[in-house]
Amino acid sequence: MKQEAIPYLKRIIKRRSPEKTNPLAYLFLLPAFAMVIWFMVWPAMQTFYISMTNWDGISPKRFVGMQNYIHLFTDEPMFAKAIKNTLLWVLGGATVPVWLGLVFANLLVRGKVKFTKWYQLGFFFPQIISSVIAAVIWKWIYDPTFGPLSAILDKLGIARPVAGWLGNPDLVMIALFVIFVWGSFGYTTMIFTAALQGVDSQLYDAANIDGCGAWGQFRHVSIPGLRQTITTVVILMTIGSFSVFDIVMATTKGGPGYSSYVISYYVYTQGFIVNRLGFAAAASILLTVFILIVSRSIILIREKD
Amino acid sequence: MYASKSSSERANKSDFKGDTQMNKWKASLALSAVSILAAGMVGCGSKNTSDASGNASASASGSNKFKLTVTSSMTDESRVEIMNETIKLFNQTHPNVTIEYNPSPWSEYAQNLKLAFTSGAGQDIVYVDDTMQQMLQKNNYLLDITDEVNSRGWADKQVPGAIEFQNARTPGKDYSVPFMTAPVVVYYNKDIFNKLNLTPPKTMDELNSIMAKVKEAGYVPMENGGMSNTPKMWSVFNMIYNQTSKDDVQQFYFQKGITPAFEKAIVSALTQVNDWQNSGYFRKEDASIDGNAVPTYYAKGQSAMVLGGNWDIPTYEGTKVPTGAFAFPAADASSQSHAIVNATDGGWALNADLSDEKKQAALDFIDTFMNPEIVKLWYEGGSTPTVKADMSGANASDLKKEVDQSIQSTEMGFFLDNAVPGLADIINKQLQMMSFHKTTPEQAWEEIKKEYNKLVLVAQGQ
Repeated sequence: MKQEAIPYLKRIIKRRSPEKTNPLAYLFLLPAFAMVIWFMVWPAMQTFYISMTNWDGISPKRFVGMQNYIHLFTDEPMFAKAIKNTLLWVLGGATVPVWLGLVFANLLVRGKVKFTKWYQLGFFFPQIISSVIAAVIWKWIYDPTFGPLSAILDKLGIARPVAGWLGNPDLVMIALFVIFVWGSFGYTTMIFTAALQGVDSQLYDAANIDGCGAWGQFRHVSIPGLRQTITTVVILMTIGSFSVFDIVMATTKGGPGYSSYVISYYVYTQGFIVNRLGFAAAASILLTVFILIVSRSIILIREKD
Repeated sequence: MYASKSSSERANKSDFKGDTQMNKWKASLALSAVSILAAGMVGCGSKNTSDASGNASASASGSNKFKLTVTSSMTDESRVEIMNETIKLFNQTHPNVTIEYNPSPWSEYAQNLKLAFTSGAGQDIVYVDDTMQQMLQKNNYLLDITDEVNSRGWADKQVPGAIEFQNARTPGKDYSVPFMTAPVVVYYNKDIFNKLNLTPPKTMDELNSIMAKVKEAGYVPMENGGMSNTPKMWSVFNMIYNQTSKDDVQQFYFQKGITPAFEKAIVSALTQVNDWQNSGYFRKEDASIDGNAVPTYYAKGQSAMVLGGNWDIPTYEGTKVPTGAFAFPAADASSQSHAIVNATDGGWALNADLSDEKKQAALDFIDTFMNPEIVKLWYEGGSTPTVKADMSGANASDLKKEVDQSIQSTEMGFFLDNAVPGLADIINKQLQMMSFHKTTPEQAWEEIKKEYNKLVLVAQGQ
């Protein structure tokens, strides 16, 4: 009986996952698998190889081992500055748009607001615009002479920085971060709105009966109910913050000085301006490692909770 | 029970057969995936030389008709139009040759050239400045045309030294032929100058005096565009030429090292620019102004001067501000030589893989740029030709004539940020930090020197 049960169990398990035994499923997966290998795995392997050469993009490659990685940490103060700026950006990017998304989603779903669909459309509108175009528009908004922001502040009699926002090393990161938040909080709002609608409304009723106000319901019902979604959104925003490039490229190009230098822009400069493609590849590999470490840490922390 | 026993036996047997079949399927699918990938990699990795210049197709078909691909960084509408006229004139004598002209913006041009040549699709005729020329030539992508330059008499058709200047990184060998220079001059607002009874300065003291007077009168002495700092950078280069010898400059430019005289000159130039900044000679919002927006600020009519290239003539004419031009002043009245930022704009170079037939046609295409009719077209479009031609009958604007007049007694000087790739960005960043007092001119130079030395090693492949 016991011996018969084992093959029987095997059959049961196999029957419960027929796709694992069906070769046709693998055939359908083959094109996607091939594309992942061809467009992601193979280029990643090539990048790793290039990171161990001193290639300038046109001459024959010369193998230099880990020299590029060593130089990044010993001989490149700009890389250190880029890491610092990027970490600041990640800290803000993984929190501010997430919180804004949570609050706005809660207002739209739980608050007694009319025309919620129109608000959702408005919040999501920046997502439709390419980030480069958005950055160019904001560059004009920030223009100290012709920009509407300066005109509005002057009309209201509010003092503004004389050198402008994008040209001020103390304000430039904040100015660029505003562009980032403007472009991303609609995305987080949309995700949380969809997720909130999946939270059982009876929980809110129960909380209401227990005397919980709006803030209490948000804190004790909405947030716990959205825990997994929050983790996912935080990871996505972290990855997006690490790889921010277009906003910096379209506006300040890392300036003034190196105040808005981020790792992605550093990689671009080293690879395509200075012609140190091997060096740039090493920096991009390190960036990938940072992203993996941080995202994995977020998941581990959440799992421990 | 029998049924179940036999069905379980059958199930076991069929499971075993199924497992084996399944493994075979997986193996064959995996093998197919690997084969497809391997075929793709081999196919994409091979250099496709036959498409690069159409050599194979041209010679195989035996037809006299063929195509020449041409590229440059001249994407502005006016120069594209002049280029089309040039191509039309070429086609009058070469009706069997189709010129396919595809320019790309300056910001992407070097990368596009690299990609094209490394993938085997390098254009037949390319317009290169001296660093791009060096990049392609040291990897054997360009044709040595020294003999053709001599046999076609191009050196005599050009102003003395123009071809040598363009090929200065390969003395004795010519890989490209220029046809225009790119002088940087100071455009000035004639209304402000007239109002304040000012005349274009001949010396640095006069320039400083003018800036002080303009500032006092409530105008902006100099436009800049602090996000890119190009006018400040050109001012620094011009002042270096005023204070050091040609040899010192060439040592720096050709990556042979930095002489003490050059160091002294550049620190002095950075200090002067810093003094201008501290004296308020640039707009207070200059740090947030993009270089592309400078003409818009100039058009407000409140700015006295701005440094710009001869390619900016149509732009400043378009501002409707009465504008004149003068050369950046010499150090003082006793200066023996007066070099300004004015290098050959670029030169036409040929792909090393051209067939004989295409090579001759390509050389004839370059020859078209020495045709007086074409030289006149480019001159009237705002360019400063290196080709000797009588321009007295040309229809040039007043500003164009002033620009040419202003540089007549000057010597050519390099765009020093072209010494190594990436140097422009470093100089710009240091100028930005200086404007916020985050660094001094001496410290800025130390940083520039450190990065310059690093970039020289990179450029030399070390």
